Amino acid sequence: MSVGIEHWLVLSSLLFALGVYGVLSRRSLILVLMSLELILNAAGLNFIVFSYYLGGIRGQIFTLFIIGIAAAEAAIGLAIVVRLYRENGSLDVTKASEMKW
Amino acid sequence: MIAEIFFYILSLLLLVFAFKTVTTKLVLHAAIYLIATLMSLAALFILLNAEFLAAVQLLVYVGGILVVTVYSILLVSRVGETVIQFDKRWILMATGVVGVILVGLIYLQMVGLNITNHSLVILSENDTARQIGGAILSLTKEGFILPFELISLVLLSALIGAVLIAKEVRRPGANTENEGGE
Repeated sequence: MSVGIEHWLVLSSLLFALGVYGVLSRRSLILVLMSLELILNAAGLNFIVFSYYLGGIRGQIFTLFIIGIAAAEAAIGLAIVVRLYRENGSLDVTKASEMKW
Repeated sequence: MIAEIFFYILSLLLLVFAFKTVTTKLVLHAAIYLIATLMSLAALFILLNAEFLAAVQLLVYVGGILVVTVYSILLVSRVGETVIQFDKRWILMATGVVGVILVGLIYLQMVGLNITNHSLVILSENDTARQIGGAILSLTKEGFILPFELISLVLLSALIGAVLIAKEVRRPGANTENEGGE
Protein backbone atom coordinates (compact mmCIF):
# COMPACT_ATOMS: atom_id res chain seq x y z
CA MET A 1 0.00 0.00 0.00
CA SER A 2 1.45 3.32 -0.99
CA VAL A 3 -0.10 5.33 1.82
CA GLY A 4 2.75 6.50 4.00
CA ILE A 5 3.04 5.65 7.65
CA GLU A 6 2.38 9.27 8.59
CA HIS A 7 -1.20 9.08 7.36
CA TRP A 8 -1.89 6.12 9.61
CA LEU A 9 -0.23 7.75 12.60
CA VAL A 10 -2.23 10.93 12.12
CA LEU A 11 -5.38 8.84 11.98
CA SER A 12 -4.62 6.99 15.19
CA SER A 13 -3.65 10.16 17.03
CA LEU A 14 -6.88 11.86 15.93
CA LEU A 15 -8.79 8.86 17.23
CA PHE A 16 -6.84 9.08 20.48
CA ALA A 17 -7.58 12.80 20.78
CA LEU A 18 -11.29 12.20 20.24
CA GLY A 19 -11.21 9.55 22.93
CA VAL A 20 -9.47 11.85 25.39
CA TYR A 21 -11.99 14.59 24.66
CA GLY A 22 -14.78 12.13 25.33
CA VAL A 23 -13.30 10.97 28.62
CA LEU A 24 -12.84 14.51 29.87
CA SER A 25 -16.13 16.00 28.75
CA ARG A 26 -18.72 13.34 29.40
CA ARG A 27 -20.87 13.26 32.46
CA SER A 28 -22.24 9.77 32.43
CA LEU A 29 -19.90 6.97 33.42
CA ILE A 30 -20.91 4.71 30.54
CA LEU A 31 -20.00 7.43 28.03
CA VAL A 32 -16.62 7.79 29.74
CA LEU A 33 -16.08 4.06 29.38
CA MET A 34 -16.96 4.15 25.71
CA SER A 35 -14.50 6.97 25.05
CA LEU A 36 -11.90 4.92 26.90
CA GLU A 37 -12.50 2.13 24.41
CA LEU A 38 -11.72 4.62 21.63
CA ILE A 39 -8.38 5.38 23.29
CA LEU A 40 -7.51 1.70 23.56
CA ASN A 41 -8.42 1.08 19.95
CA ALA A 42 -6.27 3.99 18.82
CA ALA A 43 -3.30 2.42 20.59
CA GLY A 44 -4.08 -0.96 19.06
CA LEU A 45 -4.27 0.57 15.58
CA ASN A 46 -0.89 2.15 16.19
CA PHE A 47 0.65 -1.20 17.02
CA ILE A 48 -0.71 -2.83 13.89
CA VAL A 49 0.53 0.06 11.75
CA PHE A 50 4.03 -0.39 13.08
CA SER A 51 3.82 -4.10 12.54
CA TYR A 52 2.89 -3.48 8.90
CA TYR A 53 5.51 -0.86 8.13
CA LEU A 54 8.44 -2.19 10.13
CA GLY A 55 7.90 -5.90 9.69
CA GLY A 56 7.37 -8.63 12.24
CA ILE A 57 4.28 -9.99 13.89
CA ARG A 58 4.83 -8.53 17.34
CA GLY A 59 2.64 -5.48 16.77
CA GLN A 60 -0.35 -7.64 16.03
CA ILE A 61 0.28 -9.74 19.11
CA PHE A 62 0.40 -6.57 21.21
CA THR A 63 -2.94 -5.52 19.77
CA LEU A 64 -4.36 -8.94 20.57
CA PHE A 65 -3.35 -8.48 24.18
CA ILE A 66 -4.72 -4.96 24.21
CA ILE A 67 -8.09 -6.30 23.09
CA GLY A 68 -7.96 -8.89 25.86
CA ILE A 69 -7.10 -6.33 28.53
CA ALA A 70 -9.83 -4.03 27.22
CA ALA A 71 -12.33 -6.83 27.69
CA ALA A 72 -11.29 -7.29 31.31
CA GLU A 73 -11.38 -3.56 31.95
CA ALA A 74 -14.79 -3.18 30.35
CA ALA A 75 -16.17 -5.95 32.56
CA ILE A 76 -14.94 -4.25 35.72
CA GLY A 77 -16.04 -0.83 34.49
CA LEU A 78 -19.57 -1.98 33.78
CA ALA A 79 -19.75 -3.70 37.17
CA ILE A 80 -18.78 -0.35 38.71
CA VAL A 81 -21.48 1.34 36.60
CA VAL A 82 -24.12 -1.03 37.93
CA ARG A 83 -22.92 -0.52 41.49
CA LEU A 84 -22.75 3.25 41.15
CA TYR A 85 -26.25 3.38 39.77
CA ARG A 86 -27.50 1.26 42.61
CA GLU A 87 -25.84 3.41 45.27
CA ASN A 88 -26.39 6.87 43.85
CA GLY A 89 -29.43 6.58 41.63
CA SER A 90 -27.65 8.23 38.72
CA LEU A 91 -24.42 7.84 36.80
CA ASP A 92 -23.28 11.43 37.07
CA VAL A 93 -19.54 11.43 37.66
CA THR A 94 -19.63 14.90 39.14
CA LYS A 95 -21.93 13.66 41.87
CA ALA A 96 -20.00 10.52 42.72
CA SER A 97 -17.72 12.01 45.32
CA GLU A 98 -17.99 9.71 48.29
CA MET A 99 -15.44 6.98 48.67
CA LYS A 100 -16.81 4.48 51.08
CA TRP A 101 -16.92 0.75 51.00
CA MET B 1 -4.26 2.55 -5.69
CA ILE B 2 -7.43 0.79 -4.62
CA ALA B 3 -6.02 0.46 -1.14
CA GLU B 4 -5.51 4.21 -0.97
CA ILE B 5 -9.13 4.91 -1.89
CA PHE B 6 -10.33 2.47 0.74
CA PHE B 7 -7.98 3.98 3.28
CA TYR B 8 -9.33 7.48 2.79
CA ILE B 9 -12.97 6.41 2.75
CA LEU B 10 -12.60 4.22 5.81
CA SER B 11 -10.60 6.74 7.80
CA LEU B 12 -13.16 9.42 7.04
CA LEU B 13 -15.94 7.11 8.23
CA LEU B 14 -13.91 6.22 11.31
CA LEU B 15 -13.35 9.82 12.30
CA VAL B 16 -16.95 10.83 11.64
CA PHE B 17 -18.30 7.95 13.73
CA ALA B 18 -15.80 8.55 16.53
CA PHE B 19 -16.71 12.23 16.58
CA LYS B 20 -20.40 11.37 16.78
CA THR B 21 -19.64 8.94 19.62
CA VAL B 22 -18.08 11.60 21.79
CA THR B 23 -20.56 14.34 21.04
CA THR B 24 -23.98 12.77 20.92
CA LYS B 25 -26.38 13.30 23.76
CA LEU B 26 -28.09 9.94 23.89
CA VAL B 27 -26.19 7.05 25.38
CA LEU B 28 -27.54 4.32 23.14
CA HIS B 29 -26.74 6.39 20.07
CA ALA B 30 -23.18 6.64 21.32
CA ALA B 31 -23.02 2.86 21.68
CA ILE B 32 -24.23 2.36 18.12
CA TYR B 33 -21.77 4.92 16.81
CA LEU B 34 -19.04 3.10 18.69
CA ILE B 35 -20.08 -0.16 17.04
CA ALA B 36 -19.80 1.56 13.64
CA THR B 37 -16.39 2.98 14.63
CA LEU B 38 -15.08 -0.42 15.59
CA MET B 39 -16.39 -2.00 12.42
CA SER B 40 -14.61 0.55 10.25
CA LEU B 41 -11.52 0.01 12.36
CA ALA B 42 -11.75 -3.70 11.62
CA ALA B 43 -11.94 -2.89 7.92
CA LEU B 44 -8.79 -0.79 8.31
CA PHE B 45 -7.11 -3.74 10.00
CA ILE B 46 -7.77 -5.79 6.89
CA LEU B 47 -5.94 -3.18 4.83
CA LEU B 48 -2.95 -3.66 7.10
CA ASN B 49 -2.66 -7.43 6.59
CA ALA B 50 -4.20 -8.09 9.98
CA GLU B 51 -7.21 -10.17 9.00
CA PHE B 52 -7.10 -12.33 12.09
CA LEU B 53 -7.14 -9.26 14.31
CA ALA B 54 -10.01 -7.78 12.33
CA ALA B 55 -12.02 -10.92 13.04
CA VAL B 56 -10.97 -10.93 16.70
CA GLN B 57 -11.95 -7.28 17.02
CA LEU B 58 -15.40 -7.93 15.58
CA LEU B 59 -15.96 -10.96 17.76
CA VAL B 60 -14.54 -9.74 21.05
CA TYR B 61 -14.93 -5.99 20.93
CA VAL B 62 -18.15 -5.49 19.03
CA GLY B 63 -19.79 -8.80 19.81
CA GLY B 64 -18.60 -9.03 23.40
CA ILE B 65 -17.77 -5.75 25.02
CA LEU B 66 -20.22 -3.51 23.22
CA VAL B 67 -23.10 -5.96 23.58
CA VAL B 68 -22.52 -6.05 27.34
CA THR B 69 -22.28 -2.25 27.30
CA VAL B 70 -25.66 -2.02 25.58
CA TYR B 71 -27.08 -4.40 28.17
CA SER B 72 -25.88 -2.22 31.02
CA ILE B 73 -27.13 0.94 29.29
CA LEU B 74 -30.58 -0.59 29.15
CA LEU B 75 -30.19 -1.73 32.75
CA VAL B 76 -29.52 1.75 34.10
CA SER B 77 -31.99 3.66 31.99
CA ARG B 78 -35.03 4.92 33.79
CA VAL B 79 -38.60 4.36 32.72
CA GLY B 80 -39.80 7.14 30.47
CA GLU B 81 -36.34 8.39 29.58
CA THR B 82 -35.65 8.58 25.86
CA VAL B 83 -33.01 6.00 25.18
CA ILE B 84 -33.09 5.93 21.40
CA GLN B 85 -34.78 8.04 18.78
CA PHE B 86 -35.83 5.82 15.98
CA ASP B 87 -36.30 8.61 13.44
CA LYS B 88 -32.55 8.74 13.13
CA ARG B 89 -32.44 5.60 11.12
CA TRP B 90 -29.30 6.62 9.36
CA ILE B 91 -27.21 5.46 12.28
CA LEU B 92 -28.16 1.90 11.56
CA MET B 93 -27.87 2.48 7.84
CA ALA B 94 -24.37 3.82 8.27
CA THR B 95 -23.43 0.75 10.27
CA GLY B 96 -24.80 -1.33 7.43
CA VAL B 97 -22.68 0.62 4.97
CA VAL B 98 -19.55 -0.10 6.94
CA GLY B 99 -20.51 -3.75 7.11
CA VAL B 100 -20.90 -3.85 3.36
CA ILE B 101 -17.48 -2.24 2.92
CA LEU B 102 -15.96 -4.79 5.28
CA VAL B 103 -17.46 -7.73 3.42
CA GLY B 104 -16.52 -6.12 0.12
CA LEU B 105 -12.89 -5.83 1.16
CA ILE B 106 -12.76 -9.46 2.17
CA TYR B 107 -14.43 -10.52 -1.05
CA LEU B 108 -12.11 -8.44 -3.22
CA GLN B 109 -9.13 -9.86 -1.41
CA MET B 110 -10.32 -13.40 -1.98
CA VAL B 111 -11.08 -12.77 -5.64
CA GLY B 112 -7.48 -11.74 -6.05
CA LEU B 113 -7.65 -8.01 -6.51
CA ASN B 114 -4.60 -7.70 -4.25
CA ILE B 115 -5.61 -4.95 -1.94
CA THR B 116 -3.00 -6.00 0.54
CA ASN B 117 0.34 -7.66 -0.01
CA HIS B 118 -0.95 -11.19 0.42
CA SER B 119 -2.21 -13.13 -2.56
CA LEU B 120 -4.83 -15.49 -1.22
CA VAL B 121 -4.61 -15.27 2.49
CA ILE B 122 -6.45 -18.38 3.48
CA LEU B 123 -4.13 -20.80 1.77
CA SER B 124 -0.89 -18.87 1.72
CA GLU B 125 2.09 -19.96 3.68
CA ASN B 126 2.61 -16.92 5.85
CA ASP B 127 -0.83 -15.77 6.79
CA THR B 128 -0.96 -13.76 9.95
CA ALA B 129 -3.11 -16.14 11.95
CA ARG B 130 -0.42 -18.81 11.60
CA GLN B 131 2.31 -16.37 12.53
CA ILE B 132 0.40 -15.09 15.54
CA GLY B 133 -0.28 -18.61 16.74
CA GLY B 134 3.32 -19.61 16.24
CA ALA B 135 4.66 -16.60 18.10
CA ILE B 136 2.23 -16.82 21.00
CA LEU B 137 2.83 -20.47 21.65
CA SER B 138 6.58 -20.53 21.14
CA LEU B 139 8.84 -21.23 24.09
CA THR B 140 11.81 -19.26 22.84
CA LYS B 141 12.92 -15.91 24.14
CA GLU B 142 10.83 -14.19 21.48
CA GLY B 143 7.76 -16.20 22.33
CA PHE B 144 4.71 -14.79 24.00
CA ILE B 145 3.62 -17.77 26.01
CA LEU B 146 4.09 -16.08 29.35
CA PRO B 147 1.85 -13.07 28.59
CA PHE B 148 -0.63 -15.49 27.11
CA GLU B 149 -0.90 -17.40 30.35
CA LEU B 150 -0.88 -14.24 32.43
CA ILE B 151 -3.73 -12.68 30.48
CA SER B 152 -5.88 -15.66 31.31
CA LEU B 153 -5.21 -14.93 34.97
CA VAL B 154 -6.09 -11.27 34.38
CA LEU B 155 -9.38 -12.24 32.76
CA LEU B 156 -10.17 -14.64 35.60
CA SER B 157 -9.55 -11.99 38.21
CA ALA B 158 -11.61 -9.48 36.22
CA LEU B 159 -14.46 -11.96 36.11
CA ILE B 160 -14.35 -12.55 39.85
CA GLY B 161 -13.96 -8.85 40.54
CA ALA B 162 -16.89 -7.89 38.36
CA VAL B 163 -19.18 -10.35 40.10
CA LEU B 164 -17.95 -9.16 43.48
CA ILE B 165 -18.42 -5.48 42.71
CA ALA B 166 -21.87 -5.81 41.23
CA LYS B 167 -23.18 -8.26 43.77
CA GLU B 168 -26.12 -7.15 45.79
CA VAL B 169 -25.40 -6.88 49.48
CA ARG B 170 -27.88 -8.67 51.66
CA ARG B 171 -28.30 -7.28 55.08
CA PRO B 172 -29.47 -9.97 57.49
CA GLY B 173 -33.13 -9.62 58.30
CA ALA B 174 -33.82 -7.02 55.60
CA ASN B 175 -36.58 -7.53 53.07
CA THR B 176 -34.99 -8.01 49.69
CA GLU B 177 -36.61 -8.99 46.40
CA ASN B 178 -36.13 -12.49 45.20
CA GLU B 179 -33.42 -12.22 42.55
CA GLY B 180 -34.14 -15.63 41.13
CA GLY B 181 -31.46 -18.16 41.71
CA GLU B 182 -29.54 -16.64 44.56
